[in-house]
Amino acid sequence: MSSEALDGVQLDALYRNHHGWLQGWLRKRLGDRERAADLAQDTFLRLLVTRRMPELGEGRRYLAQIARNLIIDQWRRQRIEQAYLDTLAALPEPETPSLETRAMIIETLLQIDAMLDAMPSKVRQAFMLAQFEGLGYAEIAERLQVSISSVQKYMTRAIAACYQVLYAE
Amino acid sequence: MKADSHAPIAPAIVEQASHWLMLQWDGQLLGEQQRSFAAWQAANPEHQRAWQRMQQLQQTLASVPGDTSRAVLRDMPDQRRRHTLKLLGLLLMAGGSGYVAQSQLPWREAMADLRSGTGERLQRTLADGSQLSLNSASAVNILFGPRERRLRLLTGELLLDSGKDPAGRPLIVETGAGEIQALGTRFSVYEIDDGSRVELYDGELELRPRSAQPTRLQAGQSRWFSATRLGPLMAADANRSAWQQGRLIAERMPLGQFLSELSRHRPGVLRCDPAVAGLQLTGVFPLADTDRVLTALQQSLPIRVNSLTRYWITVVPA
Repeated sequence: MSSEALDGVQLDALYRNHHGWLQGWLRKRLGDRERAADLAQDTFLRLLVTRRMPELGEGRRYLAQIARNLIIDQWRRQRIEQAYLDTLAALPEPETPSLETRAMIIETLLQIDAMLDAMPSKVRQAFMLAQFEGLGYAEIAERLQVSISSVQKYMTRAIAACYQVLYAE
Repeated sequence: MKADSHAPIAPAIVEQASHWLMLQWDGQLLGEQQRSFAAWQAANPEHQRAWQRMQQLQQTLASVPGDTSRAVLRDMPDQRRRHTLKLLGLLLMAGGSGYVAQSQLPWREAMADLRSGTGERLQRTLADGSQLSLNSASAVNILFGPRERRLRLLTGELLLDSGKDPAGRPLIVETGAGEIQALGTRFSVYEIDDGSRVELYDGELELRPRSAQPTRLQAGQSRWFSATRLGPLMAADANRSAWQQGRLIAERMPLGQFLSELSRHRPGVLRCDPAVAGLQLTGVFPLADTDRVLTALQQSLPIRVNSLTRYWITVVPA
């Protein structure tokens, strides 16, 4: 949608023309004035960080797209945090990690979740069996009823997907 | 050098590095393989850089124990991202809506895959052959993926006749309180008293409160649970599922409970004076015409139905 770099003047104009609209748009969808205000602010912050400029006349659509992604990221994060805390709650007391460790693990889980999301279904299955269950390729091949060379192909694709999440622009 | 280390690496080289990491994950490289890997690394500084990134990637994956990843990520429905985007897109086109203000996380309900209005009941056959019924004013998200079949009850009540999945994926109903995993069953789930009540008519299922021990339920049993607590085991009330056929069945039901049940099926306010809330009634009532039900009540019980408008009704002693 955009490749041109954003400069201060343009950002300023975007903010003046659309910030009020975006906040209203979010408020209508979230039913929560404060959260809408926060998200509108975060949307412009994201714009500032990515430094990408919407095409002429596409400003609102572009901002709405960023805002939507932010909402989904928040939702994703909440789910993962909750699931992780639930997992911890099932652990015996002495193994409870520190708050910093928890934050780091949640960050990593979010990354891994994004990696899984980037994989086609068979590839993901193979990857999860290898990484989470510790199965070898022969066992995975048997489990998925495919050849070992297919499993190797899946795993190569899985690694490439992980790479994209960590290093792609 | 520093700027260089952040530059993108050519896709062909990433592909080769992925291949080498894949081989290493399956075990130590031996003899010939080991030599060609060393040759590959030495051939080009970009190969080295790609390999460093692969090692970082591996460290990232290894920094969370496999058990934890599995427990946390196993149940994340996939394609959720695209799916939700699509729903948000629809929402955008549909414009503003009136029901947004009621709930704590209203946008979730606004984006539900299936929702019924007040007084409306829906039935759907799901992709796996399961029969899903939604009671009045209910919303559910349907998240079927390759790993599981998940229904997220956002509000209200659902009744499920679960089909047998050819792929053997588990069927899970999720509520604010936790999860219910069906093991070939017919059951209903509804949101009540800050928790969920499950009525099991057939088969067996597992209740998994978010932060309490899971427990099993047998056919004919009913149990309330919240995120942290399980209520006492009770007998399932078969009459409760009559809404699926558009009926409300009462057997010596207190009037207060009857009216609160009835009010789920009509818009507006339906109040009951505490003086008559304890009166009991028995009968089969059509949900399609709740006005007529109220009129009928007046004839059989010592009560009067005060209606300021159709949307503001109080039931008081006659």
